Amino acid sequence: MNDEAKTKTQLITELGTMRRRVSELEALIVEQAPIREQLQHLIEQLPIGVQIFDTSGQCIDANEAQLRIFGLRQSEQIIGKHNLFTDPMAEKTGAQAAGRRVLAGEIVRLPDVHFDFS
Amino acid sequence: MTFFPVRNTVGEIIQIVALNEDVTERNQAIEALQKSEERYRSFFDNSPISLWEEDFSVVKAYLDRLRNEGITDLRRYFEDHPQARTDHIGLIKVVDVNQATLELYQAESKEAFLGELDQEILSEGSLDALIEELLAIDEGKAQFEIETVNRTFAGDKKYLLLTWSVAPGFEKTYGKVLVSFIDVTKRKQYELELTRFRTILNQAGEAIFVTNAQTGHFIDVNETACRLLGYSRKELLKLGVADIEISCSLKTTSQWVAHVEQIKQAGEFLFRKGLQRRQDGTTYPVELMLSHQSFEGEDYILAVARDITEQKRLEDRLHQAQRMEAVGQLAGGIAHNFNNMLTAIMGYTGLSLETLPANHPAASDLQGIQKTAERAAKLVQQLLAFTSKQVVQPQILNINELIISIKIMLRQLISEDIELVILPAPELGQVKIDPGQFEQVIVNLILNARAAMPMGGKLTIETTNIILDQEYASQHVEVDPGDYVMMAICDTGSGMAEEVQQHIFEPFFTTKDVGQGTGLGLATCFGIVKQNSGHIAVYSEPEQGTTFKVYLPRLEETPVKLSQSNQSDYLPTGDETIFIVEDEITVREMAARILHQQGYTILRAANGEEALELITEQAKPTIHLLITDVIMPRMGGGILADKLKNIYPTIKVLYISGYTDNAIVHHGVLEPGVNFLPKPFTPNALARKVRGVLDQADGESLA
Repeated sequence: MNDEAKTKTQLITELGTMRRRVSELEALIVEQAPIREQLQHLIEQLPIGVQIFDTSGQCIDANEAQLRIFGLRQSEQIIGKHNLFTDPMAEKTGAQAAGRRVLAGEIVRLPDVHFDFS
Repeated sequence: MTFFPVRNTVGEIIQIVALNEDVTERNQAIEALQKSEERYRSFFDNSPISLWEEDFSVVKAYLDRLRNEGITDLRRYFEDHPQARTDHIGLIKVVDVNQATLELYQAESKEAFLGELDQEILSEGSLDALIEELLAIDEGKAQFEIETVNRTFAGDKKYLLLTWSVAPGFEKTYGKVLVSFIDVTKRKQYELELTRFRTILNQAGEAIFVTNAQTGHFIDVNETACRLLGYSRKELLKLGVADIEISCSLKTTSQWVAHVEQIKQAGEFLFRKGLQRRQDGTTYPVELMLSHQSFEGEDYILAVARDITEQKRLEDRLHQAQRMEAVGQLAGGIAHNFNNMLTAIMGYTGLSLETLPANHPAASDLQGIQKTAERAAKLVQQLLAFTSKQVVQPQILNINELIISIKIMLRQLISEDIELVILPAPELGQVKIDPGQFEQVIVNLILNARAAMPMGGKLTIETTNIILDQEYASQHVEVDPGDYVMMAICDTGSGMAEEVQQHIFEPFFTTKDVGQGTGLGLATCFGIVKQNSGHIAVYSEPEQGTTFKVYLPRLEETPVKLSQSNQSDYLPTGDETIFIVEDEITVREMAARILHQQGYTILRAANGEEALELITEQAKPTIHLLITDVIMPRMGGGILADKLKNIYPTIKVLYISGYTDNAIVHHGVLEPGVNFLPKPFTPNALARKVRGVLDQADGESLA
């Protein structure tokens, strides 16, 4: 049934239900915030560099360790700016090919790569 | 770098996640490890010390198995099972060796070592070390060190210091053990050389002292030094020169410094005599050879000391012998003159007595003179006996017979409270000696024994055959080794101190009160024994008695029977012509007067030359007998007699002398066929001797 066909009472009941749901979700968000925060901290503080790309290869997140490996100070320097599939360095190191293989469902391990940032 | 997909709930890939790990540090660590490994490898390969990597794990397992089998004493097990020992060696696995190992063992390649331990390189001496090694593994030691001996592949013997330590992590299994061999062959050779050098030093007959030149303390001494001084080496090394050397004062620093300076100044060696004190306080004389040495900036005094006690003793004996000789010569000279004078005194006294009536008041005075002169003559006779210049007529005799023949006389010499025991040896050898002289020796020794036993005691005369060997002769410079007959006269009297024994045979040495003895008794014995190539020795301890031992050379000839000379107061006479040649006028005139009174015709001369002149002048008078002194100025009696015998082939010769040289005698012993009358003589003795000589047939001599 579409909303125009609903009675005022029905609508009011639905609104009441929605209000209740919203407040339930709000409560859930509040309730789960510490867990998300914990996960974020975990990723942020992992001693292993973690960089997350969307399927277009665009960088959407990078943790502290990753920034350190690339010699960067702030995540803004790469988030939304670095694209795995357009980065010539990534092509060189085999990271681009690896990305494509991941999109095909593989887990790819590359040998140690030497980055000279000096 | 790891890439993985993130899927949504329906399995669509929504994200790509890249995981990156910074491996810089890890890579650096690996690199460092590799470098360390290389460094270790380089160190292992290039080490100048022989290094081995070995695997003892099989050995360890084997040892554990033995333990499990209940063997508790592994050392004993290996000693009892030599085969087990060698089997174990085969279980040691060599993993690697370095270049130095190849050089040490003179091997061509590593392959010679790898795998089972090569038993060829183990020598006999290394097996004991191997047992210790196995025991160390058994005890679970992580480190081990021992000296061992191995052989190289070329067969050379090497002394090695073996050290091993278990690599960390292998303490239980002994799977990896780093072993090193340090070649100590040179050090060992030095040690052996040092040991040899020390052995030689210790066996040297001389005491050797190495002294610190600054302090005078001993740094090193040899065994002879310890033995001579009666200290242990440890004790002696705490002492210094000042503690043992007492002949010169070295107590103060300045005295020591001066002493060292003197040694330095001496150049190579300073020779000195010294006196050292033993631990027990006794001393002994030494001859020191001192030198100054510098070594590694330190100054030392090297002293080589020789104990000269024995040498000094022999020197003393030689001096003693020389002194006796000198005294003898002096006494001989005096006796010669005395004899001439006594001959005159006795002769003239005798003549005067004959011319005086028996009841004349001067007669008894003259008899007193005569008796005194006779006593003086006896004294001179003893002196001559001591000087071995008494003229004697030795015979071959058995001294047992002689002792027994005079036993009664000897008994009378000693007091009744002295027991006389004579122990003659059966089959005693013969000796050659003048019986009168030997009698004199016995009498003098008996008198000496009597004096030593005023309270009585026991006197033993014992004879025996004896051999004095080379050793005895080397201890007594004056003795020739050989066969001897020995007579020992032993008393139980007061004995003598060492100092008295030293001088006992010297003339005029006496322990008796002044006027009690002449001091010639034992000197006479000494002289007589010497004259007969014998030896006299004294053994005495105060309060223990004295033994004199008289040694005379043993002969193999048969003895002659002792003849008794019978003397009577009757003075024989004659009418022959007698030529008296004597340089001493009193003797010559006295003899002339005596013989003239007895009816002889007398010719006189003062010496040989004068005698020969007389004969030519008087155109060869008849001469039956020549009486001549032996020693005279301008031709002695011997030459004169020879010359006269050419002129008068039947002439008889009688020598008179108080002192003889070898004109008619050898060492005081008359040659056969020679007639001799010793001075001083009495008128009676002269008359009797002259008659005897005149009456003897040609070539016969009077005994």
